Amino acid sequence: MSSLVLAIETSCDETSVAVVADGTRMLSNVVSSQIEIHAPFGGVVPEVASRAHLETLEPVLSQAMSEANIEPADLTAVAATNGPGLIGALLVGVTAAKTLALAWDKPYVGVNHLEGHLFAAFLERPDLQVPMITMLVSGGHTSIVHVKERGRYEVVGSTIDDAAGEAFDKVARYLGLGYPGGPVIDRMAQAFEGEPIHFPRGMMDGSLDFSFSGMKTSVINYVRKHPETPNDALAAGFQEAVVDVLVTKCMQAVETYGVASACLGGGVAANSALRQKFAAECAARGVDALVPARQFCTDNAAMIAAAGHWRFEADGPTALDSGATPNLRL
Amino acid sequence: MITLALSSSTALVGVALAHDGDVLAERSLLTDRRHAEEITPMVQAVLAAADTQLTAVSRIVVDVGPGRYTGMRVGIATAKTLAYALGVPVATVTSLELIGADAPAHDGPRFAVVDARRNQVFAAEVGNATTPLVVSPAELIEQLPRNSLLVGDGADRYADEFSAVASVHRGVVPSVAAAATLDLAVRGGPAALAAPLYLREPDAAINIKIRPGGVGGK
Ligand SMILES: [Zn+2]
Repeated sequence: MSSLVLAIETSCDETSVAVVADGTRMLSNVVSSQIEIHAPFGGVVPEVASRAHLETLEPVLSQAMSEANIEPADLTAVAATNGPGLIGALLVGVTAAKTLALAWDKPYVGVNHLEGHLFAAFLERPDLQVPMITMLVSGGHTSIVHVKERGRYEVVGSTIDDAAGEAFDKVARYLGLGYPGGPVIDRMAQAFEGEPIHFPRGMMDGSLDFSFSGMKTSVINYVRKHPETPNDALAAGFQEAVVDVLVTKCMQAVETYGVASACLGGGVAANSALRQKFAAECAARGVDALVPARQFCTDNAAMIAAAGHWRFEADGPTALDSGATPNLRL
Repeated sequence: MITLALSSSTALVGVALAHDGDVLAERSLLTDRRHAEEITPMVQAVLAAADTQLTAVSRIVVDVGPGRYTGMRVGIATAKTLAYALGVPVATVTSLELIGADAPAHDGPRFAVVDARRNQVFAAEVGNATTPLVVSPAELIEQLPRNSLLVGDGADRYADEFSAVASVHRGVVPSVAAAATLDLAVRGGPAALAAPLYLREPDAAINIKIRPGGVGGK
């Protein structure tokens, strides 16, 4: 008999519910984004996010159930992201999932959000071979993960200061481009036809760790010295520098660990320059590259259901007296 | 009619099950931060103690605050999700009403007072269904009629100040049994209408009004 997992994701600013069969086949994946609610603040405001999750969850849940066209009795388990993330936001989803599990008499499964991002790959490519290298880049996380097998991971590189998406947001805010910064800078860079400003790469001498704070500072210093520089030349130059560092380190990890496949994940993986360069560099090395569809890069419950399916098979249910862990690690 | 009542907007997490006016089972616990962990097993426990199936429940009653934001959301998320899964209505009560339900008899006006932190309290006169006040303890003192009695965790916290002008009866918490047995005929409604009684804007929204131009993320 096949498995059907319903999952809830409320760790940051997307309220999402999905139903996935056998950990790979998506029956529904409803995502309600709060980007517009947080835009006036220039970043995600935790209390505002928690309030919005509580209002949105039930309609999103109803829609996900009706699009999947299944009955509660058909489900194998109910999963929810239980960390890392904003504690108030996480608890809305965890509470709802535990309650559904109780009401429908199904097991509850708590899922690590980062493991969810790693499993997003298998929604599009169930055949993808492990071991692989996955680079997770978003507003909250920047890490290179060596996926040895499903369920066995080693974080081989991570940021020592800002997350990649945070750096995009900060530079966009400094240049007065609005929030969220990633898509704005991406669009400006794509439309720009001149010579991008060259910024130092901050490669940190062969380490797989990242530092984006210095790159943001060099943009600010450059503008102070050359106040006439147009924003698009700065945006294009900053993006080129970030993408260069990300892809260079990811390829370094691919070579170091000798993997045959590599994957991108997280909101910044929607960046068009990153997608192109990552695919090209993987192709040049004969590495099987997965650049996920944009809907699987940003936070979504389908990836939580995929990871939840696997976690339930490996570890069984999570206790109903469990909560959420804001700084949960992989 | 079987009613399941939930309260988690203060330090108390409680669940009660009632058949019409009779409480069948009740569980409650005072905890600083385990509301989300405790509430689901408590629902399970009251059902087991009353030997009742969840499908027999025909109405949910939930305490919507005012009080602790996370606690309020845990209770309401539980109520809305149960209502969705069981197809039953949700009625709402306030934390102040549930505190008032356990206030001792008194020859004078009685006030339920909940700690709102940041040197404020939420307060309402027992039996008077007006919008609760959000005031500092000093402001509440100025508005109290003579011979008042104060109950609730806000009364406990500022007992020294309040005692100078009113009686304080300590240790009164929301009565989840009262929530399960109150006559709520007029209050049943669709689950979507069960909304927290925050009574204050989120912090960042307050700041942005003071400082146009926005506050940063992290
Ligand atoms: Zn994420």
